[in-house]
Amino acid sequence: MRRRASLSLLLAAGAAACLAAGITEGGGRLAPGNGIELRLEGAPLRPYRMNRATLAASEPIRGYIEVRARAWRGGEILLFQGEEESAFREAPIGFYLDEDYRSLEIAAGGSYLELDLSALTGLGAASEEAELRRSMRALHPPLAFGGRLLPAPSLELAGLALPAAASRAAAALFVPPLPLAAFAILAAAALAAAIAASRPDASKQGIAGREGAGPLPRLAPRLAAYLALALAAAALAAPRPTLYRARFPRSQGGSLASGKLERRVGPREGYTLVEYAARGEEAGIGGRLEGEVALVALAAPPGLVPLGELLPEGAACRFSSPPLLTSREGELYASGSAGTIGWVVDARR
Amino acid sequence: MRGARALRKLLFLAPLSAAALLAAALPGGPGGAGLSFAAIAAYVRVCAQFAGASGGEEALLFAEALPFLAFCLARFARGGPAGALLAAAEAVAILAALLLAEAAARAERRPLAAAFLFVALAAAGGAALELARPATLLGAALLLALVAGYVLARRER
Repeated sequence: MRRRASLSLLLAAGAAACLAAGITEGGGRLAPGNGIELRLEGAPLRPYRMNRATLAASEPIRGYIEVRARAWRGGEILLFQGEEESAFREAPIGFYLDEDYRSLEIAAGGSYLELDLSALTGLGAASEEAELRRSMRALHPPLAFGGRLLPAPSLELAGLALPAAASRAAAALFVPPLPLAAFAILAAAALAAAIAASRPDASKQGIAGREGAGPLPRLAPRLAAYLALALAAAALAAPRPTLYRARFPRSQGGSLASGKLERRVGPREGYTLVEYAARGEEAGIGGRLEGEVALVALAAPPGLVPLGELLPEGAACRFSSPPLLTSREGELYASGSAGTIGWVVDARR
Repeated sequence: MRGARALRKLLFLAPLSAAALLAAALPGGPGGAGLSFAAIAAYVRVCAQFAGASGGEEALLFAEALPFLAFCLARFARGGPAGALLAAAEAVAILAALLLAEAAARAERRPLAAAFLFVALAAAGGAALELARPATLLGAALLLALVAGYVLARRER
């Protein structure tokens, strides 16, 4: 009896050891692929940051690079997507991490790398880092933004707590500029249709306009004119990639200081920056965030907004739906949809 | 009388203007382009039904609605102006194919059934706008338009 118990204990210990070894080796080890080993080099990975690293391969590889995070609650999130046309041994990559993620999966050129992130989470860090994580964990980003035609020109801050101010900013401030040129095209089309309908040879009844009856060649000029107006409206109405930013002053005792944020819109290369900041902000539109808390949102297709414009290097951040990063000529760019909204906290505050 | 005709035309375009304003206010997301296409195509077809418009008149009504439809599609399109133009081209191709197919099928003999069928096919076209690849969709629409055009041309002879 005692012998059987000892054997069971031995087997259990062996299984636990195997399991532990497997878990330990899983962090950073090559998964089955084409025999090429991948490594992640650079600064240590930290939650609530945009992490920048170098993906190194034991042999030159080419093709797609994808970084996905697996969440503790299940499900995968695509964090980085890139394509290298020429063979490479090292490629710069970047990705957002927070404590909701359990592991990281990197696929490149047919090889795979899985990293266990569980050791990065929790409060088992140096006290300063633990304090930062505690404060970031409490900063919940609003869920989404948009849904209004006209943005509020300003936001009164007096007496508002930061989360309430963020919800108002997301709902009322993060609204793209109106496509006025496209609206003008629509007005012209409506006017043209009304004038054509009121012509003496126009219809005697109904909205259709009996002058329309007839062979196609007679209709062709009008059809072509409406088609041209439609194409012009489409080109002018297409949403321009937009980076929204609301810069909140430091809070005092849980509430924001009095004052208000005012809207400023500035065109940038390839995108538009819509920023709300306190009046008399010295940095001016697009200035670097310094010692501030900012709510940022991104509505842009891939490869258009430089990561440095979204947040300064080293700043802490927390997104509910993180931006997708991509690499172009060694630089990192961010893209996002209507759900890409989050907090940026300058680490030096 | 002239004023009344112009007013009727503006009344016809008023819901389309409202749709454009709504599309400008809504945040972009999947499904918006297909839904816009299906709703606007159904609305114009129903208007054509009530106005007794068919053939060239019906095509003209759709052409008048086209800038508004293109605006709505562009607000939901991905890929900037190029994506918006592609979505508009797809919508034009689907509408042209549907109108030619309707004419080729002698749908004026059963106008109500034709209207129902058109609305159902427009809904399918909206789904295809969202799900199908642009090349596949454009190819299928052009093929349908070619077949319908051939049938119409043979009948003319």
